[in-house]
Amino acid sequence: MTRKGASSVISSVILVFVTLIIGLFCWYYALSMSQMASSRVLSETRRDVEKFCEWFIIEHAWVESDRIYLYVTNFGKMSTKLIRIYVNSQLPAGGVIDAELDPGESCLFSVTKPLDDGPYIVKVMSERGNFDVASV
Amino acid sequence: MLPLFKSKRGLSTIIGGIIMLSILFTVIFQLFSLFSIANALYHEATTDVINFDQEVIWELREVEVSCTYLGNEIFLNITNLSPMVVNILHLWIINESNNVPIEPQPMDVNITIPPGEITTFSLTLSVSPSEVLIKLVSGRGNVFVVEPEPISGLWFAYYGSGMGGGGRGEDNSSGNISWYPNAITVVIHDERPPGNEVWMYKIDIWNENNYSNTIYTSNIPGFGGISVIPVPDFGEYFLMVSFRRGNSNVYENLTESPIEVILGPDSPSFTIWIEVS
Repeated sequence: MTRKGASSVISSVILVFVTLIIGLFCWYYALSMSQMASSRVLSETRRDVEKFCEWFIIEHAWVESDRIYLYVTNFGKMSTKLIRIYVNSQLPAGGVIDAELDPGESCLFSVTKPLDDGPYIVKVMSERGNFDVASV
Repeated sequence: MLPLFKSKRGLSTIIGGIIMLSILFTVIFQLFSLFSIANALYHEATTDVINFDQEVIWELREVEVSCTYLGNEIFLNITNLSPMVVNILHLWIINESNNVPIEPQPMDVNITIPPGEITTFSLTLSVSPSEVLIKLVSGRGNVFVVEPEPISGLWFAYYGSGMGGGGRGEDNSSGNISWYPNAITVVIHDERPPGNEVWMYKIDIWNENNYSNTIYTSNIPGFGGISVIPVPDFGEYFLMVSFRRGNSNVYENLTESPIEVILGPDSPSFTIWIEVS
């Protein structure tokens, strides 16, 4: 074997090694990016699915003295988190809530009645962005 | 020298190509499986939601609720004409004048009505039924609101000196909710003045399919009494009502001849009203 032949083999091996390293790095990068995108798309899909499977209603709403009462029940198959109660598109005192309702669970809420006379449009909003409206 | 090593880039090109193809295949496979999973999730969820929405609309259209009252007792008749089982979970009693419920929480009634059946249940209120609205909430989230109406008889049988007029007795005793499957409700209203002798009533019910049943009940004069007689199915039944005085063992007929009762899905509120005067 000549010197020229040996260096040719060594340079080929180095080139193969470098190609392998760069290739594997690209493979790992592509896979991790793809996995990240997949998990993000899946979690968004699940969130969308949860959003349109959520089902809660205001069973009854009424005004008593200076407060508006709402009885809300979760009729969906998954738990729901209620976060806001609006009266006539305004956020009244007591309108910021944090109530997690399991399927079939109900809860009575009350907010301060606005000063103007009724009727009042009451809206209960969940963390997923769904809402139910009642008129009292 | 091996042919592969003749060119420095030959082997690297092949390895690079293989790696590139592997990247493409694994990424494409992963994206393909992602789309499959997401599509399956969406498909399952949309199917569930569409089916559920259909059930909600169906329930709203095919479930009929009526309410009658006698004294402070209300009788709710729920007719389920849909092909699904209907569950009534909550019952609200709401003051009609100001929309405020009698209690801030609904009653948990939990009544199941099989497809094509009628369920009747009674409830004694602490307020006058003429001043309230009854709101029923189903397990699918549908809300049914009814206004109780005074009970009206379909047949009358009179004993003594003719039809008794005047006020009807009010039963203010508290009672638990009870519910019945297919049933014929017999209201015996004794309009004799309070203090009179208490009579015992016998209600015979039968049909042509060898079903027969006898119910015994008694009323205090001045008050109404309700007997709900469960029957096996819709169809034609016959009723005879007789009474026995306190000092006698003999039952005398209150109804002159058997009353024919046809119980069907179109007769949700079925009450026979017999006034004793």
